Amino acid sequence: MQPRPLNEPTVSPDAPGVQEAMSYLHDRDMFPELLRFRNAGLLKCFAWVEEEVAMHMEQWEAKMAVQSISRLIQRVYEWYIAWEHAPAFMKHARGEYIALFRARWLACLPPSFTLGLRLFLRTTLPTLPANERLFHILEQLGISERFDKTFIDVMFDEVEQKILDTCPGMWREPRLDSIRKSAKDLEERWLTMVYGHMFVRTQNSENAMMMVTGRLDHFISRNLVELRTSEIFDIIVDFPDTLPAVQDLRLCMARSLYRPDFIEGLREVVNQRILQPAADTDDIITFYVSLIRCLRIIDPQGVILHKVAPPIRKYLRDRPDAVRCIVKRMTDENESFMQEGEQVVPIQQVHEPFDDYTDPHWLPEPLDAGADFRTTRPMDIVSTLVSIYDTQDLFIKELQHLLAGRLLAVRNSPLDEEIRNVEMLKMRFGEAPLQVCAVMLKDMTDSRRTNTHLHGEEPHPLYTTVISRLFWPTIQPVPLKMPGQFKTLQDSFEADFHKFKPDKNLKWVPQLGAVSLKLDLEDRTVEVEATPIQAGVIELFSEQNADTWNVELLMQKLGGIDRVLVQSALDFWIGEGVVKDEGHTYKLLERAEAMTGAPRPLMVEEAPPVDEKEKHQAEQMKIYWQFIQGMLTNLSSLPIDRIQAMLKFAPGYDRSVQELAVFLESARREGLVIFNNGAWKLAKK
Amino acid sequence: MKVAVKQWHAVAYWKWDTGATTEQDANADEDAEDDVCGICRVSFEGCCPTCKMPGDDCPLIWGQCTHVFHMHCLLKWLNTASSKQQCPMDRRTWVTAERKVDR
Repeated sequence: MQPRPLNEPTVSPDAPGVQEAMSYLHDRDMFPELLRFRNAGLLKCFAWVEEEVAMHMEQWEAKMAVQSISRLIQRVYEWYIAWEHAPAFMKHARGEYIALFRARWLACLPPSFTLGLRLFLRTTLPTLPANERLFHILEQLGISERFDKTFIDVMFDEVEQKILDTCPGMWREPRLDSIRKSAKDLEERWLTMVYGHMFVRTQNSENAMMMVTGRLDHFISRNLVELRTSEIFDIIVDFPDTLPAVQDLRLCMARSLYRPDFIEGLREVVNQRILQPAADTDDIITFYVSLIRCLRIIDPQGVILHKVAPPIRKYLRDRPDAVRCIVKRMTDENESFMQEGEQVVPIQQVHEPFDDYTDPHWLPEPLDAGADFRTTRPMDIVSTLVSIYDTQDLFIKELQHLLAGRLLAVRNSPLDEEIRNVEMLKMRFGEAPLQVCAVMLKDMTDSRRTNTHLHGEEPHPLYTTVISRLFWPTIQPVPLKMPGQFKTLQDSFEADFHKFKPDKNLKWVPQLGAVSLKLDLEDRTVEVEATPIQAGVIELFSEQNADTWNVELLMQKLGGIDRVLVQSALDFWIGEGVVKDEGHTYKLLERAEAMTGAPRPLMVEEAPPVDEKEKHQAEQMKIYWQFIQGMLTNLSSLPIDRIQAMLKFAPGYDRSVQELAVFLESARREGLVIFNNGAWKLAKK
Repeated sequence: MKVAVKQWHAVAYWKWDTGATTEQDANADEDAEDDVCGICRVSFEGCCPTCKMPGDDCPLIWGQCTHVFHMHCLLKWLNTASSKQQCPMDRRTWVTAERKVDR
């Protein structure tokens, strides 16, 4: 009757003596007594099981090998079976025995068992169908019931592992579907295996399954969103290629649950990777554009964008070259802001609340939309970029600059592309702002006609672009006078032009343009592309008996241009090996000489002459100097804020305080004003 | 050494030959800047308010009184009743002058 250790032989319940004893007891109604006796014995002997459990768990904790868990379960089951056998005669007492055994043995499990079980179960996954016996044991021992949460966790672990194995870096194909499918598959197999024999599929069990399925789906979404959020920068940078990953994100984010984390992650990435002084403006714009496109897929209503974009926009606004980059790309053939099939549309006004009540797909604003969020009309990329700035004027100005630079750079290639560009921009910005650009283009075509008319079809060395000065960006005058044959060419063209258009005169802008030259030297010919100044310099060298010049003389002969310009032109010819630096003078090399020493690095190419906006601004600032002078004369001294406030009344004044400060500072250096106690004063003459 | 110009792409801008200032023009070029039309106050090299293209599309007109205007501006003025066909500057009867082609 007493439980015995496993290694001792048990008495078979069917042995003749036992049968007799049993029927004796049965007749006297002693079974309850007997049961009590047995249970007491069981409890006493349970110490053996406890010892065994403790031993295996110690092993587990020491080595973390799942075999310990496996062996433990195996052993306990052996005890369970051995002791169950003893009272085979008392069929009705079996339930009591099971409950008692389970309660006792589960009670002595340490907390670390949960983890052990979890890992152990993981190892059984690959050979799932072969483990039917194991799951039978687990159920018998009450583990399935007690640790049901662990069983579910095992499934989650497996799914997570699957995500980690197959998803990172895989952006070019959709993952979500296959993961959902494999999870579903796993769930089906696992749950049937673990619980399958416990319940028949009833409505109830279906419901229970649904719960688990729902949780699992949540789990997949959360994990995938977390993963993709950590990769979001690369996904956005590689955008159209990563479309599948973005689509996955959209599906996962259908529940707004993960949006806060996603937004937070995105913001962080933007701060760390994009809004850095080291980041190229062009890259920032590229990122911004991709970001807009991605988020438009993930969240068509634009709440996420609304939360992420403002820092980028603000940052771009502060970048001085942002407008130029945007404009350049707006007009660039290859790199368009337009996606395929997108129409050129006029620039739209932002911030214009927009609710289309006739839209059958209308949705209310999402929960996480902030108070300042307004459903705005979906804008195209260009409109979005332009709306970074308060006015379009900046863009128009920049466009004019860009176009001017490009038009003066084109040689005789057709203007079709530029014309198309301007037409396209007209559709965006409207006719009027681009009028100036249209005039520029007309100047170009007119010039072509003029040149053809004057020179006929045969090639002529001089091609002149005649521009309408007021419609081009301000060109700083350079007092360059072209020498020698250049002068002759100019004069003859000028005369011809006057004959052709009697009511117009021609004024040269000699520093602009380009010259292709062929130099015939004694031992070689040199063919180069040069700027007019460089051409002028070498022309002087070619004059008779004048193969040695100094800088001053050159400056004077060229009409008194800046020393820097002459110097850089000389450096150019030294670099070409045509001229040699001999201390204070420069000598023409009729015969090539081995370059002495390393070739001098060419001076930095002059900025394109039309790009003199800043100088121009300084010029304009001089006008306001009159106002400042007047102010300071009347009020003796003023802080800069007051000056700025008063200047605001002046017509056309649009400078910022910073620009004013720069101006005042330069005036101070010139000794016109002094700065004292935070106020500006006129310097006493 | 001989320098041969294969191709020179030069840039110039045009200015109306208003005759009067031609001589000083050469040196005082930039200062004597913008002569403006007395009617619309836009530079001669610009265009009158109704035009979009400057130059030949929006030419000037010379009066015998030596005043110069955008042609469109002046014609519009002459079409109004209050003009009495007078030059808006000196109120002499407007007579369009023949352009002296020769300087």
